[in-house]
Amino acid sequence: MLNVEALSKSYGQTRALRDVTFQVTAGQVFGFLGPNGAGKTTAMNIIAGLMDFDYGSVTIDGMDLRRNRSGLRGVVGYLPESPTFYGYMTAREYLLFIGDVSGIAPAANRARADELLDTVGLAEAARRRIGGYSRGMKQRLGMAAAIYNRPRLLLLDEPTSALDPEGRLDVITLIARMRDAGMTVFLSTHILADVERVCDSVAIIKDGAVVAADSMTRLRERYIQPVVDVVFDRMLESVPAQITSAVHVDRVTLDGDRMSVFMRDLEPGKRELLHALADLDADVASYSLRQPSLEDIFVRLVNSR
Amino acid sequence: MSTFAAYLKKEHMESSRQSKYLVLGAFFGFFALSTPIMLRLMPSIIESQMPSFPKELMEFDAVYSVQNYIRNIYQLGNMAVAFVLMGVLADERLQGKLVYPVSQGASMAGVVGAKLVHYGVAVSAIVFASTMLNYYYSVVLFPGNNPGIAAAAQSAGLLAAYFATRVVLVAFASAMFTKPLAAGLVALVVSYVEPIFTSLPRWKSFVAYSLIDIAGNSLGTGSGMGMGTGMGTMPGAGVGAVGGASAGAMTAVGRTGNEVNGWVLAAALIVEVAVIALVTVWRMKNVEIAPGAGGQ
Repeated sequence: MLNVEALSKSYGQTRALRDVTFQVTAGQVFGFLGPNGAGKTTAMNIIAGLMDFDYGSVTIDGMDLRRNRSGLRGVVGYLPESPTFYGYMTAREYLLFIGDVSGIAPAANRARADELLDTVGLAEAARRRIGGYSRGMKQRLGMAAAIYNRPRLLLLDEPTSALDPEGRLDVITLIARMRDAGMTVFLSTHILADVERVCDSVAIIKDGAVVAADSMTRLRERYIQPVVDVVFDRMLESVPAQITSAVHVDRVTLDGDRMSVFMRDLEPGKRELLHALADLDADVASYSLRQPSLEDIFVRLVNSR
Repeated sequence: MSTFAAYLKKEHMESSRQSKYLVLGAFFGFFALSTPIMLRLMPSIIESQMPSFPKELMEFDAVYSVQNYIRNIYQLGNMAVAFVLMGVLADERLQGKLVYPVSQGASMAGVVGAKLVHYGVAVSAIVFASTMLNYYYSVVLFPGNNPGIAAAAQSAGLLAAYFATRVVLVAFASAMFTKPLAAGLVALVVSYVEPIFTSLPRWKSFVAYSLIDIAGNSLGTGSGMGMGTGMGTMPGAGVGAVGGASAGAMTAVGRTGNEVNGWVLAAALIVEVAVIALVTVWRMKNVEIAPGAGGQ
């Protein structure tokens, strides 16, 4: 659906994007992560066709962005981080205006506006002027405007940053629903829990360059930590010698009834650890391989280079 | 076409709700009313200050009153149009308001075209109406030498056409500059420098300012003082349309007479407006419209 190849953009001497490359498969929710100033918004503005770039290529649905800029408008929906509207309009008037611009017939336009106002939870405030809206309400309206003409690719820049937990959950649910309806969603956010909840693939960008881009499953596999956590039914006074002396065990930490075993080599280490635990005269309550969170992976990648 | 129609509707809503019509209407209306009134009161004021001042120099007529309004409104009206409309495209770009419409398929030609047509028509209508209002009060306050409603309407039409070209100029500057104030000032400077070209015979038929010249001339010969009403003076005296008076009574309007070829001027202005509009569209198509992009 979206193919970004060696995308580069500079502002004067500052290189905002350096050979950014990633692919987004149709029907996926793709997370775009990175610290502040990493180049996420610049990349999104370029993909939305609102900003030019120095070199590289962006292909959407097989069409080159540079050659088909006007043809691709309408294919891509974009919710900027701080959406701006005409403050003197009401939310309904604004959506009708967007529908008019898109060339939607008047009756269908009115029905679509009412449907989306209901979807984003603004039905009651639909006839109030946008100038009096809170940031969260503007974000919801922005979401409605972005998906108004049912784009095939939806770009969301920090869509949940201004929302309360309930609003965040609503937006995440809406994103999942859009994916289920066949829309491809490109989601930039600082809230990693949201990414874990809804994204199929992610790209992590740092200083304008992509440091990792893969599916969530493969990323977890790649960055899995060689640590096994064992919880016992009772407190241990010291780490059993059978475990510390195991060949593939690097070190062991003990915290009450929880023992964390750090392996030199995970696969043989796991088998060795199970044998050692069987030899121990202690009841094991749980045995689990530590799963890396997206936050662990993000921090590790962003701080590692 | 959908973009043009949508933006035409949006601009009308914006102008109504943000009182742009009211500001422009009140501005032009105020000067349309106050110019003849000030002129009517002037003899009494001068007599009380300078009793020996010759009374025959203070005998004004309706023609002079309307010409005086044209002279004042050229200078002040340009300011009003520039400052009210300076953000017409710059604000949209700078504040990221074009992001949604453009990403939903809006055509930039439609956006620019709707703005030019809307504000061109609105400003022209206000200018025409205020000039006719000025004519009415001038005739009421100065019975006698009446230029006639046809001549007044012709002058009002020419003045309206001049301000329509100013709308295009301000919109062009607004597309070229990120800061609305810079756009307004540049448009204003161009409008104030333009009369210099009317002193060059070869250029006279190509500059919009000649419309002001003809608007004054078409009213006929007025009588009054060359010093105006004190509400405004022409920039570059001697260059303007209504100059030409010695210290004594002013005769006729304009030293330029009817040397301007109306057809050539009309054709030149149509071409100029079309070129400026096309460059404005080109600029808006190629400029980065992402929020804050202009500042980068």
